[in-house]
Amino acid sequence: MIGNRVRGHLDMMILAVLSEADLHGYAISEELARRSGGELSFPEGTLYPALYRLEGAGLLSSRWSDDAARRRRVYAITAAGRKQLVAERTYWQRLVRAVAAVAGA
Amino acid sequence: MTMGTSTRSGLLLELDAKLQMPPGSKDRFLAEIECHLAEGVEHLVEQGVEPAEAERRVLARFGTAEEIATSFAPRRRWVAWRSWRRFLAWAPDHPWLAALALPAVAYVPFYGGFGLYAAAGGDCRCGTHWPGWLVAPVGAVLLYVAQVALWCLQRSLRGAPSAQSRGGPSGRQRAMALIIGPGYFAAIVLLLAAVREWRLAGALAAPGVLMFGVMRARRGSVARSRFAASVCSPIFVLPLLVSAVVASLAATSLLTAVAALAAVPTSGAVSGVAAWLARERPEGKAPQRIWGWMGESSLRSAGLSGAWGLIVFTSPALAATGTSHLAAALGASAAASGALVAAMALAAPIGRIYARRQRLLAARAAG
Repeated sequence: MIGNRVRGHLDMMILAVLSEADLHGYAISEELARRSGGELSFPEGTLYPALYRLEGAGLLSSRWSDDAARRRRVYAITAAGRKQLVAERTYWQRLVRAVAAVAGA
Repeated sequence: MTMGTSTRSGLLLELDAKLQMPPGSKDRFLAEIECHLAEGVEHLVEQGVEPAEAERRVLARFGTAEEIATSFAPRRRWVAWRSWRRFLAWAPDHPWLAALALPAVAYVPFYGGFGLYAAAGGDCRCGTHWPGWLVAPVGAVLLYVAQVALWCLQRSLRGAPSAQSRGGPSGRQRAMALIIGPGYFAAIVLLLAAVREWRLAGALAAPGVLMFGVMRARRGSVARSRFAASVCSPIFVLPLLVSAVVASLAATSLLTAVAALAAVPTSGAVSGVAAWLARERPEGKAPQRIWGWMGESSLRSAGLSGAWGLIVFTSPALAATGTSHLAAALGASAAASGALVAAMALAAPIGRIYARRQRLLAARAAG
């Protein structure tokens, strides 16, 4: 499983997950696990500092939702967040290409 | 490498102690984590995992309080917010300075009002019974600033229950809140009546009691947490001060009116802090801390009683020595501030001892 090395890219992954649906913290962690096929492993608790950071930067917004039996904080990506996601994806693709070229993958 | 906590409540308590965040954000953060953990356990139990094992797995997956606290990078906010956050982080390590700084800042408008009035050649003669004219402006500011400042300090030290905590206090706490809240107003009115300030007593009592009833009826907020019992009190400040100004003008005591008006910005600032603190509405069941709550209430009451006593008894004594009314007023206010500072300084170490005890109990409970 891939652990600490992905932490630097957690922000991008959160933005990517939220670009498709508004989700609460637990659902975001489930979605990250599902999309990675269980390969990404990091303490789920560290997701929340990232969410707070992204919200503070104006890339996410959040609200309390009482729709379910339990009251949850639901996060949504903002317009600035979508722009940031595009930039992060571009950067990531360049990085992967460059590292692959050097490593000979 | 630290050992993970073995229960959800243990992890939440540990996080409460370790996270360096503004109190409102911390409450929200803890509520979200509580929800996350509960959902994780439910999910596994639905899949047929034993509840104890489900909790163990969820906690292992979630990470330790230390990991989470370390990875938390505080949000960048506007200068005032950052300064306030820094103050909250700094205050526990410098209780004496913090205790001094809060009332000092809070009193700038009050003393400024006196100073400007005197510098402008204002009439400092008292038109009413001495020291009755001093009671309303000094007392009102002392009362509310002390409540909010004490609460802020203690909240920063050990994380008080949130404003909207659904846990709710015990029946005993409810009863105490009912006694203490109206008790303040009763004390003010009785004191004013004792110095024969009937107009002020009436002016203060009517809107005070009315607002108290409205606030309580709204959602039983006084009974919900000590947040409401202390910080929501500034809801009363403006109507009370307006009443004081009206009553003072009616009594032709210009100085009282000026002092009361000078206290309005202070009250506004206090109300702003209260609004900021009340903004977050986490759903988490904050642990009920009856001893801390009772200790705070007792300390607050003792501090305020002391301050009232100093105002009432030192003012005539100073005036009897031939000191000018303005100097006597400033002396009495300074003495009252001193009592307040002492009470607040006492509150900080008490809060620390309490927080240590809570951590010890949590550690024991966690095995």
